[in-house]
Amino acid sequence: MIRKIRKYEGWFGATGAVCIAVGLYFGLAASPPDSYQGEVVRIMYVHVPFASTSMTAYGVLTVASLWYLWKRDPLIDNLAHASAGIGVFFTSGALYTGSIWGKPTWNTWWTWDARLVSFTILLLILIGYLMLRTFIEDKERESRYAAILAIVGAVDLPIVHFSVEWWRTLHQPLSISQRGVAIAGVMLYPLILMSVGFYLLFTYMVGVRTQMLYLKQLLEAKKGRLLGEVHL
Amino acid sequence: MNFFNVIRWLAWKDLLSELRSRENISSMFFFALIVILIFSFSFSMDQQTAKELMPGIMWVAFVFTGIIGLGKSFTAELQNDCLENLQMNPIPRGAIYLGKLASNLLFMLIVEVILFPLFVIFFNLDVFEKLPLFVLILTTGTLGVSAVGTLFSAMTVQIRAREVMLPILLLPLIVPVMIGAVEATGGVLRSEPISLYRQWIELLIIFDVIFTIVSFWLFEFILDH
Amino acid sequence: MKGFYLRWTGLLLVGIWIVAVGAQYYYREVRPLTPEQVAREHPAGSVRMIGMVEAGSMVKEAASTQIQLSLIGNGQRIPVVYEGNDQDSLRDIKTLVVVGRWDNTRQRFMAQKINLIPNYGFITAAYLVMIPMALFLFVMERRVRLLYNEIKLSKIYEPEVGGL
Repeated sequence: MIRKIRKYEGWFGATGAVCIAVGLYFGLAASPPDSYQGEVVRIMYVHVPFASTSMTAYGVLTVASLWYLWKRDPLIDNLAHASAGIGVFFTSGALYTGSIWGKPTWNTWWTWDARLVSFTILLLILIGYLMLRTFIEDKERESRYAAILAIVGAVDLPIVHFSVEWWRTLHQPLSISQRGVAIAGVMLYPLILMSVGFYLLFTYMVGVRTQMLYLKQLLEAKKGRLLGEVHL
Repeated sequence: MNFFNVIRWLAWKDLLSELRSRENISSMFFFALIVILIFSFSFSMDQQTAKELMPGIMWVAFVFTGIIGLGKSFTAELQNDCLENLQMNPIPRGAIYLGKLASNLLFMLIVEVILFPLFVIFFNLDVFEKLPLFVLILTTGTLGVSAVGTLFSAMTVQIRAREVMLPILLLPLIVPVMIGAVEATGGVLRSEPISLYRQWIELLIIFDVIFTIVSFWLFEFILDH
Repeated sequence: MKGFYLRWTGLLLVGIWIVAVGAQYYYREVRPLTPEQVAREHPAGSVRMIGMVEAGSMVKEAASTQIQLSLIGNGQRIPVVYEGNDQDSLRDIKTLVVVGRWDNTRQRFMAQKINLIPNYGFITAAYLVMIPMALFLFVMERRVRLLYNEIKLSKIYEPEVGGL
């Protein structure tokens, strides 16, 4: 399995890089500015991929956690762990670019929008997940508890989203337009290219990180075993 | 032992030891009292703002005290190696969860019932004709916090830095409970028609059902070998 | 290890090249020009001009769709004639971008389109997030290489033998 990852990850990384490069060209240079948002629309070409990949990261984390609780395969746990680590990165990226997009468009860095709040909660859960893992010594228990947390979080996130949406419509009648802006064809190319590129890059990064965690664990285990033999 | 006996036995055992020591409930109670006082000083409220802020303050106090209680709920088990025994025995895991959930819910509700009259006095509320609604909101909100909280307290009791980890893991997840409980309490206090805040009580009930089931199922994996 | 560093040097060079091209593009697009320079350098092509609509300078001609106004900025005052629809964004003391050409004979700017101000700063800030991402990936990949090396050196690497 780990060999397969090592063998194929390069292709994901390379095609991802190419897609992002071409997407950047289309997004930054070749596509026209939006008639309503102006040039700021170009931030969308990096924000939307960040947001969708961070949701995918949580999806991968959830599936891997369920799978781990079922099969107890340490490599799957490494995959979940890696996905959470990358997820923290992509979620922060989504929040950062979204905030920068919000300033010129909505004239505010932050608003208690359902999407923003759910992404913040998502980020908090992921950070809590990573923290939890560092606080448990026993490897097997660490994986088990982390998987439980990930599943609870996965059940919670949609509820958070809907409750904040209700709450917001109650307190602040929508004064700013929602993001559901129709996308013209010329703007679709860079968006699709960047999204595909980000997905490939995400796969690549998860592959690399899974390997890293697996190798670390392998090294520790083997070293431990060697030391044990010496002591005996 | 069958399933329901385990639940009853566990909850009864917790209640008995609490009645003997009284340390859990008294520490929760005084902590909540201090939280309320701190809030009242830091917001310099008049009558009107007090009424607006009161639901939020109340639920923050309840949730914080709940975390104190939840954090302690499994430590007694850990000290006497009872957790090991529970793990060894062929007791249904779900029953352990439900027993612990029952005792946690009970402790939190006791503290809330003692605190609630204080809120009525401090904030000059007139609540008597709407008491059943308040009881419903208190119960559903508290059940939501303790359903997730019991699971996490069993999880964090066996790790380092458990006092920090429990709130860090729990608080982001109970955002819907906080929103729902605060909105519903506010709605009752402002004497709005029930149709305006019924959705929040429904949200609380949905949250309770979902997370009791999910935690019940996941608890099996916590006491696992 | 050598191939790894080479690859990342290549990526770094590509990144620097993209930044350089972007900066060049930006400075070619955005710089102050006098009307004479515009007339000399872009006799027919359209240029974009940023400026603030001078208060009270807007004159609407009832007969046609033409609007006369003057844009101020950089200590200059340029008369503009705009013809077309989309007049919502045309307001007093609003900074905007007009697209059109400089009419040298009549000494005024003939605008065909009105755009909002480009917020290049925001866009640059958003895309800067790529830098920590690349750094993160670099550190991670480097760590994997080092781990493989370490495992190889200590001769304890037995792949796929019953997992862990």
